[in-house]
Amino acid sequence: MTETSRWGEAYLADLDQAAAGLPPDRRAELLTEVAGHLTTELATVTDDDEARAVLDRLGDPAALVAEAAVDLPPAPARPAGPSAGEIVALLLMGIGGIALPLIAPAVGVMIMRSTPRWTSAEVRTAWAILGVGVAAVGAGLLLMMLADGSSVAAVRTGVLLLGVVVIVGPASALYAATRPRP
Amino acid sequence: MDAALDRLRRGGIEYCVLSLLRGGTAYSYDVVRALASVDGLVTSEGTLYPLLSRLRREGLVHTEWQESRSGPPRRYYQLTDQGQRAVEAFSQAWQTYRTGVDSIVAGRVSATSPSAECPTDTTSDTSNRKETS
Repeated sequence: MTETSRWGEAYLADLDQAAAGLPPDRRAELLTEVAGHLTTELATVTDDDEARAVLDRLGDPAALVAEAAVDLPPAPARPAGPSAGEIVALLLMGIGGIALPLIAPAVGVMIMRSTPRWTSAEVRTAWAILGVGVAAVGAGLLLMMLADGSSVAAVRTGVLLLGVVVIVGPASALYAATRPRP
Repeated sequence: MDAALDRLRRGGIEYCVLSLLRGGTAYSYDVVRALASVDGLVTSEGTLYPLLSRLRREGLVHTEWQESRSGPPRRYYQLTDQGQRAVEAFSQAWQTYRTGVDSIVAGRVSATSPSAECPTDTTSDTSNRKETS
């Protein structure tokens, strides 16, 4: 994808995510063709309204993916277990959360987002949980600063809050792992 | 009714794509543009790309890559012999089908009794079989 503007990039990102369940070659071909379309269509576009009209004519990404899946077996063969990417994501959210709180789980969520295992609502929930984790660390640091840094009670609070953060990763990983289907 | 129209469109559109390729090779984008320029034919331009891919998998068209001056190489579509035959068969069937549907829609063929006051009248069974040509 060469010169698709930011409107095109956003659409292609949505399409890529909607197409996560397609066979890889179909997904790639769909993305390439639509990227070519957007490059040409958006080359002369200068404002939001025009860009929106181009994207409206193109249609809902879900409709494109549905058309691409029309001749697939009705129940597409799903991998029996989690894919390699999903395992890495689960490890990052679980053990990774202890080694690198927040950062590793965030990377894990981003990987999970690109697999069909999680719905977009679940990805949003995961981000929200991580957001609570960030707020908890911030609150812990603030408490420590207010208590002059050396207070035992403040350190204890900080450790407690870090503990909450560490729990977040395994909790979301567990949730992902127990989901019966993508 | 919208769903019925959608089904009708879906059925016809792939033959429109094939018909457009009768003249030679075309870039997928130009096929999409041509179809989109006809009113009421395409509701989502993007669905034409997976449709073209499917026609290739079904052996009705084949593709070749050609260099493009303004970007990455492009996939050009062309009818296969099988695609050519499919278009010809459709073209004939379509003429018959269209004439038939037109005659019904235009009201030249009727299934209802002309006298609405006596729906129980069984003697008029054959009276409504007047077909005009």
